Amino acid sequence: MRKLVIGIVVVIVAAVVAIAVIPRLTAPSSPSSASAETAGFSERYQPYSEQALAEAGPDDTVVLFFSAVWCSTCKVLRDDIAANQQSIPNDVRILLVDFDDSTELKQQYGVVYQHTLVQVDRAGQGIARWELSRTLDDVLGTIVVV
Amino acid sequence: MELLPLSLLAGVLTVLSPCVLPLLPVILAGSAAESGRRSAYLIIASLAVSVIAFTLLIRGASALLGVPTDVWLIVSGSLVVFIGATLAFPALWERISTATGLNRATGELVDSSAKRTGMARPLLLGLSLGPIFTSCSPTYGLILAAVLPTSFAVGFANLLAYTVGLSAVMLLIALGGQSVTRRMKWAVDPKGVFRRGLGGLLIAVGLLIATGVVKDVEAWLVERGILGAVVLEQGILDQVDTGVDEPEPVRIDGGRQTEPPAFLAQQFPGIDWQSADPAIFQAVGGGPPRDGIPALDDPAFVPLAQVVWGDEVQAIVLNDGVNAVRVYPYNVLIWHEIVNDTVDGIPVAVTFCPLCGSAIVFERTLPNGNATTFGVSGGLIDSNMIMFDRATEGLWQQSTGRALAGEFVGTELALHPFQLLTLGDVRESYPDARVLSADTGFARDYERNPYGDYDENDRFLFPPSTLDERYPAKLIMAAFVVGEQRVAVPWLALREAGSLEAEVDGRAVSLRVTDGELVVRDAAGRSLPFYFEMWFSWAVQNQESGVVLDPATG
Repeated sequence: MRKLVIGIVVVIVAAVVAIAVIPRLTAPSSPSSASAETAGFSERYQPYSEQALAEAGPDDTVVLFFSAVWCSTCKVLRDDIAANQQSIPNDVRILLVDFDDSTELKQQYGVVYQHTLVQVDRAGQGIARWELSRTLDDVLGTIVVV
Repeated sequence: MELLPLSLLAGVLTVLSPCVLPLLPVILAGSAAESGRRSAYLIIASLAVSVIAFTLLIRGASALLGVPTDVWLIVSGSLVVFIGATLAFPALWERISTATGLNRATGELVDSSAKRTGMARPLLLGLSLGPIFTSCSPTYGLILAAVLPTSFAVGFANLLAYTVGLSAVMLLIALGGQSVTRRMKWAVDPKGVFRRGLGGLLIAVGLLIATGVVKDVEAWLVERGILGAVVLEQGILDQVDTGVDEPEPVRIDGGRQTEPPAFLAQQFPGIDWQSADPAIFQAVGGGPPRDGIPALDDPAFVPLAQVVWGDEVQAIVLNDGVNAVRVYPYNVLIWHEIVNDTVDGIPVAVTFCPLCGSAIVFERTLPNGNATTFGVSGGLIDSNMIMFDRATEGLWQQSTGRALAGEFVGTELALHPFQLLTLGDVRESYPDARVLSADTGFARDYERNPYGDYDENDRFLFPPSTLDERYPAKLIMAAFVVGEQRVAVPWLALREAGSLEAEVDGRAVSLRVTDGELVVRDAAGRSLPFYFEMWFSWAVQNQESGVVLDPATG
């Protein structure tokens, strides 16, 4: 009996370790979140970088999408944006920010929730902030007029 | 309150979502290792308290924004590792609790008659999970985003309902873990292999949490479409009238501010801010309060011959062609910014804003026909002075002459003609001129410029909202209005060139500078009033619609 229990415990520990290691092995080149979906990116929807922000035109609307990799509501929106990129207007850019990895940006824009959208100008000046948009249409519809 | 049952349900459903993954093994193993239901209740109760406390804390304390996610993971993970270690190595735990009196203290806290063993550990276990608990429930998100900001009480009630739902499921898991242990009587032995094994499991999970691996596992599950009850919950939220309005986006640019800055509201209590031009809400305090920079009324003048200030000093010069020429040197204006004077029967305000180099003479007659005097409010918009009129306490922007608050919002003061000359020019052209006296009644050192080399350097005391890089920010422009069109010309280049003919909106204008004096005439030969201003300050108002004429480019 004791041996059985020890066996079960060993199996559980092994399973946990395996779950932890497998994703690293299957996606070795994607330690950060956003990259898991690189396939779905374009000029109008891409991971955040200072360069991507600077490349926005003077009259473009830029929306930073703070999203955590483990956040399922974010995943729903990420998928919707990726699937409907052709309907992002020419003067809108959506830049994906990793929520867990962007302490400075979170501080700058007061982001406290893993699923947050921040409208900024191309200089990075914050304009508006909201949370939990579910679809690309939701995001586009919430953009404020400056 | 329709949301309450939904919040409870969302709490229950959360157990299905990947976000809750780190909690499950910890709760399961942690409670299986303890004897007695009391410890299971304790784990869950402290978990609930910890979850609510951290939810509100992270929501409310912006200071915590600076704490990287990793830190919370390390804190939580380390606690779980520690708890695992106390189970795996019971001797160690006993030594620690005896040495610190931890058990006794918490035992008394929870229930003085409780067994004095094993109270601290469950408490700590539950608390350890608060910092890393992040719910993916859309209902939970709705509570945070839409309900809490409008009503803390309702938001808190929903948060509580959610936590109760979550805790109920967690409690079942904890009790389930314990019932397995109870069936195996031998497993209760604190030094038994089973408990040590659970301790080892907790150490492993704690390490996974601390290293962030657990988040990778969650991400892995989410990427594979294992989203828990998200779709179900959103479906319910769509179907049910929750009575919660979609929250408006929060403006973080101040662009839609409807509140005046506190210093203005305080110093101008009579103003109806509802009717004010929103531009006024962007005003900042320049430092000195209302009248802290004292405007001059009934100024005294002295003959030019008595004035010792150098030829290079610039001055606003009023010449009505009848009375003696009046000279208002910058070195005096820079300390007072406004001189309320009367020239040839016309009440005028001679104004100068040092931070944007704007020299403008207004007629100080209000739209209702009454004359007023102007004072310095202490507020600035894009470095430009906000004046106030003493008759109605309205606020006026100096660079545009426009009323931003008060009775006359939207109206503009009339410009009065003047020249911008140096004292050297004046000595040459108007030897009989009279100069604003240094005897102003205020103790100011008119030999000293309080702004230092601000005019020459490229720094700002209050950085402007936009910078137009066509010209150096502080280059002085001559500015005027043709029809409705605002026009600016680089002043020194114009002075150098001597004249400029141009068309603005199809109307001919002719500019001529003679002995430093500018004359601007429209097609009919009428003389147009003008003023002077640094480029950046003119551009923040007129970048989009204004016209720049440059003698260098024609």
